[in-house]
Amino acid sequence: MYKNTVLVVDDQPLINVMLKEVLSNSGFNTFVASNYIEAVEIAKTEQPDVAILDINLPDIDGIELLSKLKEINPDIKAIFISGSFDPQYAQKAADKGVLRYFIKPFDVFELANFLVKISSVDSASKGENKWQMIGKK
Amino acid sequence: MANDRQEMKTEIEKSNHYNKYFTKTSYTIKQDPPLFVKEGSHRVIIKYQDEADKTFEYDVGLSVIEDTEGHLGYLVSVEDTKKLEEKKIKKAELERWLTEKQIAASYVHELRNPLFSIRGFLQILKQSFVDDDKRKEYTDIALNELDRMNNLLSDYLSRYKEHNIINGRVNRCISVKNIIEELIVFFQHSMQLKGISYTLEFGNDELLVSIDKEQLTQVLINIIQNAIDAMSNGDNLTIKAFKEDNWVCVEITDEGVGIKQDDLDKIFVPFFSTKEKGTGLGLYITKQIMDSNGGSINIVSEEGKGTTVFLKFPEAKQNQ
Repeated sequence: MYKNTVLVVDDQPLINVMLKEVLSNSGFNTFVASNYIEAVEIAKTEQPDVAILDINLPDIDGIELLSKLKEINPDIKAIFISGSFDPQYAQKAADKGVLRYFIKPFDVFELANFLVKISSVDSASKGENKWQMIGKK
Repeated sequence: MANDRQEMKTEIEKSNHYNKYFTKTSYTIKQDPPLFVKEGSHRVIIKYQDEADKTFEYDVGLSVIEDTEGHLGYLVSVEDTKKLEEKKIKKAELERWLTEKQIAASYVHELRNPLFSIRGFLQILKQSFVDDDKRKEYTDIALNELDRMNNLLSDYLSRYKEHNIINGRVNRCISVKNIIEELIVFFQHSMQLKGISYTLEFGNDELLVSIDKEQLTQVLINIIQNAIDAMSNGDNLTIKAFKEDNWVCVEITDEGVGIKQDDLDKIFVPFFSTKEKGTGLGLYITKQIMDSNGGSINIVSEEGKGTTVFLKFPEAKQNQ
């Protein structure tokens, strides 16, 4: 059983291959897209829970893309990845609800662990982890 | 308006502007001036030589101003053309520098993409080796080297930040106290993990300095990070900030491993580092920033006991 469905959007094909490998191995149903059109297509067909977005795509920037994805699924969670850190942009991203902002080259397992953390919180809040909740009492 | 004109005239006399600049009776006018200035804005370049044959050139702007009752007045501006020329050169330099900075930033940004895919694949590869496999150690080395390369790129970019000061784009008046308090929050987690405590000691003085915020942040991050790296469980970090004459002083004291006397002499030399992943640029850049802001940095250290870094900034006046 997959923990969550994840959409990775980066225009670098090798980064997509690498992240798909890592995240699939961590149990996530992972889809990759290299541009806006592909991302929207996958968002519609696969309904991802989390989107990992490179903020500088050739046809759209991260915040705009996130807005488009939220039109499809208002509950989608987002993580930004980028080769540089712009504090103003990071602030805007945080205001849009972006959970983390990773600067390349980062530790891919840190990303995977973070996804595990947010997806388990998610399923617990949905009441899917009933046994655990009862056990705690 | 008539009153205004009167005031303007008095102001000019008080400032002695014309007496200072126009002492001769005849000047060469390089541009045809309007014969009668009754309306509009006009500009003439006036050139002359003084007794010592020194050439002066002024750009004089004249605008006719009029109020609703038809009273006329003049707005005159005089600017040294040499200074104008200098301003133009500075502007061109700034533009060139901004372009260079942009190119550098986009290069670094692009380089980080392949660095990231290499890093990720190395991490995947590393997972497939058992603990005592030499190849696992080799992938670790490759990962460390890759991170070092990335640090070098970051340091290279921060050189451009440091350059800010030369072009005079300075944030006036920032509180050292506020910046330290903001920064310490960032370090709290890593200090907790290492079992390090910290003490902040600020006097009641306003600790205002005149330095670019990013630069001050970089200086403090470099030093605090070094202090944390040097310390271990149970050690304490003390940051004191106070005013002394016209200086704002910051003392950062750690109870870490300290620095060898031999190394202490080389500490500000570029590419000198005792850390495994260090680039040797941190303290070099820190010193450059302190120097270019009229401040100073001094380090006192005893091996096995700890290190104190003394920072001194010229105090900023509130009205700057």
